[in-house]
Amino acid sequence: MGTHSGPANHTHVEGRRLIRTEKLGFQATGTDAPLLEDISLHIRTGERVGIIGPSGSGKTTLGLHLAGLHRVVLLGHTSGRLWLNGRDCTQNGCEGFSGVVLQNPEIQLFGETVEEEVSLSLRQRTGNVDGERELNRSLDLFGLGAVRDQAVNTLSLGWKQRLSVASMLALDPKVLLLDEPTSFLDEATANFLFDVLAAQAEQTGVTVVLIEHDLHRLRPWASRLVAMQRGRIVFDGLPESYSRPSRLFRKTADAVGSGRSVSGGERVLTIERVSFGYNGCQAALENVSLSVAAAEIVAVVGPNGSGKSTLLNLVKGLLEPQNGQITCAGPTPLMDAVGLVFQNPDSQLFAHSVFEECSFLPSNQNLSPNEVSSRTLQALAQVGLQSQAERVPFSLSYGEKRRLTLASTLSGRSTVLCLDEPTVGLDGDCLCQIVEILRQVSAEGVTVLLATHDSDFVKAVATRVVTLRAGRIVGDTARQGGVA
Amino acid sequence: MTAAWWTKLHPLTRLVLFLTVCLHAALGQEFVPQLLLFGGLLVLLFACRVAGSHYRLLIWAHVLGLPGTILFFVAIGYENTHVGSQALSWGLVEGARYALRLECLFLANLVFISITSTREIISLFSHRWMPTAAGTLLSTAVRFVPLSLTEARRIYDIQRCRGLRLRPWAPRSWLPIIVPLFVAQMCRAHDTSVMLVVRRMVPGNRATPARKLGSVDWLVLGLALVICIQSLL
Repeated sequence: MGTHSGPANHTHVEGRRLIRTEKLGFQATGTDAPLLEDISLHIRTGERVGIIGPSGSGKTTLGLHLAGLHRVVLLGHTSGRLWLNGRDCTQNGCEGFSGVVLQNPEIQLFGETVEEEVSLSLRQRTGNVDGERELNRSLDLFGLGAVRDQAVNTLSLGWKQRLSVASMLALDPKVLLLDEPTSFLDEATANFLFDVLAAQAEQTGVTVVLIEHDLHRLRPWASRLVAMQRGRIVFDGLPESYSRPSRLFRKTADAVGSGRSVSGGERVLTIERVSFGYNGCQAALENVSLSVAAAEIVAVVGPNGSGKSTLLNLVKGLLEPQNGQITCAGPTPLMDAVGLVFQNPDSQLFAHSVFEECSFLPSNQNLSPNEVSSRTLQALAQVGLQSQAERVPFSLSYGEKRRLTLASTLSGRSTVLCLDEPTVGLDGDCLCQIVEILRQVSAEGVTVLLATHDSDFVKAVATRVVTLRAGRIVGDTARQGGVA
Repeated sequence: MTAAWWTKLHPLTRLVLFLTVCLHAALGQEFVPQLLLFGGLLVLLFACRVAGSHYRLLIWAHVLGLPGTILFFVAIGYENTHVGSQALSWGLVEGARYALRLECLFLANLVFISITSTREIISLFSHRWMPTAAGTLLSTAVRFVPLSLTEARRIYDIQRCRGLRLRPWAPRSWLPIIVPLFVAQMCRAHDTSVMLVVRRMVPGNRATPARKLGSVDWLVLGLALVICIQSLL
């Protein structure tokens, strides 16, 4: 993973004290264990605070308190004391104090065009604001000047996220909270955002609180790092003093290819001169050809809008190529031969038990009940969820839900397994589990095709890397014994 | 790019027109005017070029559900009369009337949502006399249909990958779509409300853009008032 070139000034920021917490705690309504415990922090203006920790460690809950949005967003009891800008906001919250950027930019934008979106924020500002000058400054800062008249819904996710950050900063907040803002972004866009945020913190004194799983990305950016574990702060200091290795691919560091070679394996997936465009317009994929062998783990990488997800949807058969063809060994049509795991588990979970959820695909394949049951149990065992078979899927943790969605596709025994951004929202330990599962699946002869932005993950699992840019393959590299 | 014709109407006029059509559809008893209204709305929906594939899917789902609705009315007719022919004629007429009313309400909602942006809806509810919570709730609620449609399409694709086969006569087969859709909408409604608060786009905010009613707006509003009174009488 490359690092961004922005300010990496890790000296202590000498700003005015903006946020102060004393023994802050939070317990959500209807739960026994507190989500936050004994949090004492002092944050100054202009600080760039990175919050890191595993899923469920309380990062977002803490972030919402620091942004003064706990009374708006969270349901439960806040204990201890919280001062924002000198005001006691423990029980009152402090609306208008902060801006928030969430993971998914889709829900954060309200305007019709880029210009209107930023103007909408500028209009909410108090005091004398030179609207036109501020608008141009905001647009230029985020490189949005060229698309200022473009409709928001035609932008790629990367541009939408830039726009949502620009809109938030246009509100002139004292604190900007960003909750995993780069999950859907390619590396270049993510680095660009980090650079702009660092520069803004320095120039305008806005305090930036950034929640991330990826320490590798946070370390060079943050002026201060706060590590959380089970609702408590376990580290608070300069990022370089934090010793935990980046993203914890402990078990996997040595294992790319694991000494196994897939050279000369049987070709199971052939994509021949495939082109595709949405609504018959601009080509999302153009003349793409790719041949994949059995047991290969192919990572499809590239910037936002390069056609990665479109390629997976075409391979799965959700979309029809406008030119060219896709053939796959095994059962036809593609819909039966290829399994596709989507990003968000909540978009597919519906059953009342983990077992039923996992058995949905095989039960739609006209198999005998015994076969369905056997496949389901095997898939659950593969992902380590066999002991959770009777649980309600919605009660699982995020990492467990992701493994369940993987199991519910594995139970279909596809020849090719496709995964769209399998690492989004996962912490290091969950990622290790996913890496191990994919290796195991590949060892059983299943071909894996995954679209991802996560270069650490690619290094850990892929035997081949295919790079897409503007709908074309611009790179195809084998890694340690793989084929290209 | 020339502005669409409906943008010349004030959002308030569009909302009043929408409510008038709803009132007329809900209270109207005459079959022919209802049919004309339905046809008009259908034409309008496609003329606006806003009917995406997921809209069409939903319209077809409604159309395919019509025989079931009519059959339901025939069954009610049979329970009341115990005479097959009478039940059939009563059920056909009442079922069609009911289905038409439902479709008019549905189409009117689609048209309104398609031609009115979130920003306009928010500005519409931005008045000092309206409580903050009510304005935010309304803004979120009005966006519910189009967002649900997009989400439903996405979830349908995901479940199709898992071998889902929808059977209109088997409600259980719709669960893999309905349950995740419900969960997704709850999350989205929550997130949207939070963003509205964070972006300070709440009613009563001095900075919310205002737009005055034009002469065409007053004309249309007057017409809408006449239709409303006629429907109520």
